[in-house]
Amino acid sequence: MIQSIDKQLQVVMRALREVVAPALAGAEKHVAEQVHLSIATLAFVAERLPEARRYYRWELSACLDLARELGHEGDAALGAFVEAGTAVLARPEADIADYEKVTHQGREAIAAFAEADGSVEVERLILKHSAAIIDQQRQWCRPFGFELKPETLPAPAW
Amino acid sequence: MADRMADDRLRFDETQRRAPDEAVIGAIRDRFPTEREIDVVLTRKMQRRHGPGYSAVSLERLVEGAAALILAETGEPAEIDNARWLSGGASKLQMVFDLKGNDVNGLPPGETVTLVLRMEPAASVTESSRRREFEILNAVDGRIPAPRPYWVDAEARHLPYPAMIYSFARGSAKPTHDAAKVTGLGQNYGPALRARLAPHFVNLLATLHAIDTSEVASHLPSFDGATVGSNASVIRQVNAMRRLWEEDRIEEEPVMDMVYRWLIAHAPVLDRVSIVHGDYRSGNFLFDEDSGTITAWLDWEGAALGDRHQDLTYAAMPTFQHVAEDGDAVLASGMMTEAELYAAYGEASGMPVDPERIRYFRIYNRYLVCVLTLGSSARASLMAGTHQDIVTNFVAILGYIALADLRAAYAEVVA
Repeated sequence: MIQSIDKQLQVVMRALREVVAPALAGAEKHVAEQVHLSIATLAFVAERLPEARRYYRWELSACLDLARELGHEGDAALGAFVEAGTAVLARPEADIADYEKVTHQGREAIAAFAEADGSVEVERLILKHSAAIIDQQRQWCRPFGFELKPETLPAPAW
Repeated sequence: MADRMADDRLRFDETQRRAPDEAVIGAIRDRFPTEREIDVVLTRKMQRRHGPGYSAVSLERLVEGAAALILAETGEPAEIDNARWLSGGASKLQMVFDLKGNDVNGLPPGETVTLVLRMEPAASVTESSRRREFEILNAVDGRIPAPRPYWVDAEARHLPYPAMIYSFARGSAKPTHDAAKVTGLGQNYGPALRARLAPHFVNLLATLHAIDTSEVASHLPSFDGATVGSNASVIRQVNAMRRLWEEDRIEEEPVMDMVYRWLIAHAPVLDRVSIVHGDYRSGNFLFDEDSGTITAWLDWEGAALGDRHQDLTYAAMPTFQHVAEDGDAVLASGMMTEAELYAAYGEASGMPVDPERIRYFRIYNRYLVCVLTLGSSARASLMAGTHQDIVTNFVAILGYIALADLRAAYAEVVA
């Protein structure tokens, strides 16, 4: 197959950048802004798409680590998440949607556990693990260019 | 205690958030009680999810609706001319137009005035009440430079969505040298302009907060009261944010839950009731570049009766900061350092700046930004709810920076 996904994205970006955007010089400001944001969004997709599966696997793994440290054995929802998450990571044919679905389940279970428990220890664990997870989420979004000092972010963990 | 809190927890899935039935909407309303008008707006938002997503609205349709609104309000047909789009940031759909005045519409008879129609799309970064925005603009009219409100279509009787008409305010939102910045975040006005804008920025905030709310109460029927010595109004506002999070989030974030509980448990009592703008920052005012004066404060949709420290800490949020030319000082809203802002405000207002309340509202505003970015903005773009989905998607991306900031600030206060 010669029609790679990356090639499709590159030709669309070129068309928008080199043909469409210059032709909008006299257009209303919000029209031109939306074209530039479209190009930026496509550039993000082009950069991150090859890494997406690895990223979502990492995010799920990080949530599983937190759930295990919280003591999932005594909580039905956390236990179900750990079981499902471990299984999907071990399944070779699992795709991004599978990882996302289980990660959502895990986030809900972790939040519910913390609310029911209400202890300082659980809060501290969540804050500790969240720091690393949020840093990686910021790293994932780095191509959009919002980070003031992107070089200070931890390297991709995925 | 743990069991009760666990039982209180709402558990909705994505299907229920996309198309909530009355039981879901009712459960959320019960769990997170807030002001009456905010409740009306948020309930309407959820009910609207059963309808079609946003579809393009033509200028012709807006002209027709504006004319119908003016006719209904004044009894006189409106002569509308020169209608064109006006950029409305990431949340509103706006049309600017000329209207010929007559004897009954409050405009100079025979003269042509330029007005703005401000309407919310099907979904928004900030779901808000046009009725409240209209009322607050009336309350500050003549006290703070702002667009003068004329007519409101709070129930969308004449226009596709709730809308209002107010005067067109003249001035620049961005300095000429930095006009390309998207959405005005982190706006750098430059040293010369900054030196002239900064005192005006502080003085207007002090003036706003010093308004005796009992004098303008008749203008604000859609605002639930706030009382000195009580934290009920603060809790209502926190609940409004939490309700948005429940309604809009794409996925749960445990840190957000923890912060909500802290905000409820530590809500400070009011030492004074002020009109709080709610979005007082760089990028939200117009100015005259030659004189360096602020000509109009915009975006009053988040206004509330509450604690002045909410605006003070909001103006100093990292999202609206930039580093000064010396490479060291961080300028709140592009004006001055956070410490300088608080000192200048204290001097201008004569009101104390309380470190404990500053600490609280620093967390409060960070929580708000996370709700609006990771929750409402992400939801609006996911559900094709606006004329600017790609902009709301961009705003949502800022959410992870905001979340890191919230987590760090919260970890600091609970350490």
